[in-house]
Amino acid sequence: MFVRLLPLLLLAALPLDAAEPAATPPAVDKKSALREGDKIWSGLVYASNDPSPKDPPAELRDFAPRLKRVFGYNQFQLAGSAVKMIDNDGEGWLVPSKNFWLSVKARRAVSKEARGGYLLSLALYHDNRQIVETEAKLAPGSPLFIRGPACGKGHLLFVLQVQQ
Amino acid sequence: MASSKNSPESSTGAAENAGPPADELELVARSQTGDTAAFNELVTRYRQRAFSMIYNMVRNEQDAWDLAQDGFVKAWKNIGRFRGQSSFYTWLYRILMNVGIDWLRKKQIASGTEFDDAIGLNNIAPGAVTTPQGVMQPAAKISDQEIRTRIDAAIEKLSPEHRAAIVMREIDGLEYSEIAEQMECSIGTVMSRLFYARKKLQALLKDVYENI
Amino acid sequence: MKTFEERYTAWIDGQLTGAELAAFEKELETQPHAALDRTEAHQLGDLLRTHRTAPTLINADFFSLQLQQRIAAETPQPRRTESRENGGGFWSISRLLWAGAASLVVAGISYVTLVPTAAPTIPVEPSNYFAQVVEAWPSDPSISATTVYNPQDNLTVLWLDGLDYMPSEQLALQ
Repeated sequence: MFVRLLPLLLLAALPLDAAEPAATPPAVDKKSALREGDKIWSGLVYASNDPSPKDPPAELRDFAPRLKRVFGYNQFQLAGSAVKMIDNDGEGWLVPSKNFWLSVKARRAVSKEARGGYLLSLALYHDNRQIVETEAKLAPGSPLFIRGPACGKGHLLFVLQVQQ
Repeated sequence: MASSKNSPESSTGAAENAGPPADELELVARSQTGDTAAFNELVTRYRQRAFSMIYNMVRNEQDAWDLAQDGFVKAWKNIGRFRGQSSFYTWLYRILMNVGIDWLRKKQIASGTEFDDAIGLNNIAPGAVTTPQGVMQPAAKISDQEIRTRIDAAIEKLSPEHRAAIVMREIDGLEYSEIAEQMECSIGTVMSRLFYARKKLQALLKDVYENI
Repeated sequence: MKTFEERYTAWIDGQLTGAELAAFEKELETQPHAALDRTEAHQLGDLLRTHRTAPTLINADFFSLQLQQRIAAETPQPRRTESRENGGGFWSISRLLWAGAASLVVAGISYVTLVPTAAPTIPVEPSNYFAQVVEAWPSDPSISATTVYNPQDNLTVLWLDGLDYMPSEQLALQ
């Protein structure tokens, strides 16, 4: 009997699907699935190689070592940034520069593992042209980098990060 | 008959008309079973040459980096089609050439420019001395950097097909038949493209090669 | 019969021999500057070979690493099949349905009994969630999107190829 019930108990211990807003996570107002004050920060970064690279600006200091490891450049300059408070299911715009912007629809992920994480519907635009649409998950401490077009002697990169 | 010292086949050290070296065959065979470590070994062997080859076509380091990777990814995806009738690099070379030409064509379409390879050659006497179109600098010696800049600018003006033909012939040292095979056209077409590419570059670079 | 351009190219490259060479050179007698043109074609070839040396591939190991990541991202993973090696006879359809229904009941009971009605302030633990791209749809067929997860740095890269080049002058660098 116990052997038959064991799988049930294991099944019951499975996390709820993130798309099923059945449980309210702790430390969150019941009326809203959001954590107050959570924002998404986006930065447009010009990455290049320079024989005497400049120090990265303050906003990029935390990202610079990872950007270097991933993309191989040694200099990172900020070409723009934008911050948006996250409205549950409302659409917002992040406009880090006049040439590039992002449309963002964010929803807080409610699975147990996703503490502080968000589900995003993102669309990246260059001027008036949509480049890519994506469904992504984002969490504090785990940014999303988007490798954009070649620019000058380097590349444009987008950095998205949850800020608490 | 001019020997193709730098042709893809001979550059690998393989004798003409011989297949790829035994260890390379083994690496390819392992790659064909999905062994990424074996493929990575092939990448390590040929990455510089692949990069150089693409760079000579597109004249931009970052683009060459990306396109060389695109070429290797294509090679990986199609590794099952490699039959060992040529060296791996010869097979890879064709992939890289096509990647480069496709990119140049897309860039051409995107920029809305057209490559006028005729440049008024319709009435020119084929054996006539080329009239220079560049800036004459008879007195001062041109610096190496300026030479490269002038060459880049001149190559930019060639269509993808003419650029490929002149790069393969003059820089990579391929025979007409090898170029024809790479570009999937007739030998006559290759020779015709070389004729016009040379005429155009001579017109653009006469003052350069006369002053170095 | 080869065209004049084909024979001319072959002549410049020293590919004509014998009777063909003699016949062509006779034809060129009406082109007084042909010899000079051939010399210049050779000078052009020397120029291109001498001054078009491609740069060394810097960060060659990074090139390979990046390529490995691209290949890994584009290589379909073998599907994980449900292990039925143990015979699999125990989990029949009816048992699965019964197990599913029972788990819903247990989940409902757990929700009612375990989830507090008044949410106390609990310090938020660091998230184990990491950035992921669930799916990406490029808007242009010439653009491709590849996703690479970097576990070392706990980040995800959405790698877009085929985008138009942008001059750096258009950037307002801060």
